[in-house]
Amino acid sequence: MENLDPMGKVLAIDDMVVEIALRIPPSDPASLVRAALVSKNWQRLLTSPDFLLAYAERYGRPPFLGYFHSSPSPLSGRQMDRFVPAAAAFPTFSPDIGTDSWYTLDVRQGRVLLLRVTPDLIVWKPMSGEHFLLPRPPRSYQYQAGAVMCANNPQCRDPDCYDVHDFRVIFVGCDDKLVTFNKRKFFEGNETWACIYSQETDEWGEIYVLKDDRYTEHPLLEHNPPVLHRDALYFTLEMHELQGEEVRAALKFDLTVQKLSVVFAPEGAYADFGMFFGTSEGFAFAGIAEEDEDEGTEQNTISIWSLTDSDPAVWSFNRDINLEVTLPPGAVQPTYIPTPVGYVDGKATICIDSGGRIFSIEVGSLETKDIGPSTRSLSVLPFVHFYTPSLPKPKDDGDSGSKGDTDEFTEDEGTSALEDKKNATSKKAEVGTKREIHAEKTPSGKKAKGDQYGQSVSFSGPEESSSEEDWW
Amino acid sequence: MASEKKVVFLRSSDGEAFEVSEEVISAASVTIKGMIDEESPSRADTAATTTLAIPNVTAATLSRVLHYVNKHFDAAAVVGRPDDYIFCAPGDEHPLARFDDDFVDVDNDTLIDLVHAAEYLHIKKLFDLTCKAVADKLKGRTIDQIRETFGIVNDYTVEEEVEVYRENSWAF
Repeated sequence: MENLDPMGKVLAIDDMVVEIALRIPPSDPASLVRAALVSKNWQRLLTSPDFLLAYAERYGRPPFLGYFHSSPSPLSGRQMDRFVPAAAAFPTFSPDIGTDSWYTLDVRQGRVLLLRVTPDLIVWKPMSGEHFLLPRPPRSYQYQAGAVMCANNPQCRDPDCYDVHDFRVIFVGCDDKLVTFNKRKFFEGNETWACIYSQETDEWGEIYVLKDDRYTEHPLLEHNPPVLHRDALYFTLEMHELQGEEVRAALKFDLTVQKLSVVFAPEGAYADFGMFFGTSEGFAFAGIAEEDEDEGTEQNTISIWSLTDSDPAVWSFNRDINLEVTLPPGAVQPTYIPTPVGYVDGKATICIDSGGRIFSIEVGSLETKDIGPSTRSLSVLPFVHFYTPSLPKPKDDGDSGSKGDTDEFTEDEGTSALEDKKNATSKKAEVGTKREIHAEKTPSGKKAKGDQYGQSVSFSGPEESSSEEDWW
Repeated sequence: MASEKKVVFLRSSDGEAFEVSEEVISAASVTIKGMIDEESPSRADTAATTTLAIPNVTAATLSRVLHYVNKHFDAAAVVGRPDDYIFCAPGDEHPLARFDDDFVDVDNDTLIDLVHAAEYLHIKKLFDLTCKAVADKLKGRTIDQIRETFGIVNDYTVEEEVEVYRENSWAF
């Protein structure tokens, strides 16, 4: 127990502690956290930004930590989002926002965009426990979707992006279009619009309205997570009628020219089913094919279509995935139509809710994993991120250190147009300042975790809200 | 020519000398290779053997390190890859993988000494192997057990500890 122990002496050497901790694999985050809690020095070493960078460099691909989903609350019966850890000894995350009523709109680069039912848009960083309350969007809406991303590069893969880069939020809303006729106001269809919030300026920018004459009614936005593919975001539109035909479609927001447009789902797919997703090769759709004839609908087969790169782009059928064969025996239940509910960003991997469990399927290899219990909800949002301990800093730890150039973490697919890697580093100080501004406005905020900037935030929610919520 | 392979002697911190092939130890240890290169001009063509002082490593540890280095060099030579003299991955069916497993199946003191020696002598694969072995020892241990095992003094106050446990209860 004493320091005189020769082992103690050796393991008191910082580099050695780091080298050993680096070899605790991402599949065992609990051991990493326990190691970090051995002493203040170990904690300082393992919670440092440098450790995260070294750890990410060592393992390359961030691990799957779990997923956010919507499911009925055990208490109130309301729809709420929850986090399901990938395994029992994995961290769980819960925002400290004073209420249990919130939805996840997007999860990306270590940030979560959530909608508190108050309603408020909040960007939450599960790793650090920080919350940022956004100002109200500049226009009313009945339906909404949104995405949060690195302000420098939508495809940013820096492992510490959430910590060092500013973010922006792309919000799309759909509201009634009000027209005045004979001095009386009438609703005339809907209007769909998008707007970008910049953390740097703390303001919403211009409103972009969808202009598409084919619609008498503008479509409604579902609760599906947005797809980021190349330099565009795709939000799912609810099935609606277009010139007498039912169609499913995505609302595309081009990030380079800030333009909204509509992309229809493949013609051969059932209109009330299916999910868009992105892979490193292309934009894709997972749905159920309409039957030619007699056999009746094959509801246990998911069909994949890919959008070609040609101009105009067209859907081409890619493959069928027979879930009764692909999923483990017994996974497909007679009473439940297996449903695509989510995808893993950048990988050709979709998540299927079988009614009993949720499975991830890599659409090329058909490699399948059981990732957790069914939520029977509209969507699940996988949280893929390196987990290194992120604890309240020891009280005597003054420096949060500036980061080195986080250069070569990117491995594939960097979409180049918006790439701005060099500017993307070391904005920590500014972020800190920014947070103070926000923290004042936020009626919550993780108490213990905000303290390094000397900002203590009043908190009105239940005291214990972050301690183990065993929903499963 | 072939019969007179050069050897060097390594003298441990506690004064014991170990003979090792210069070729083997140069391939394995960046540190010793550097020492030999420095010595080279003075020992050219002399029959005298070189003795290098390794002040940070005890005889017990040094003999283990040399055992490891020789074993891996021989195994690599068999398949004609002397540069890549250590090449098996953990879990391999290769006999060398089993040798590695046994090699680090030692008590904590010995293991930590090996980490230290590998670091000082700059033997990358041995360093990887031993660090990984220590990391594996952390698996499944409680914080108190880790402290006890590695002789770390808990410097958290009770309040800090309560807070830290509350925030991380999933990890226990």
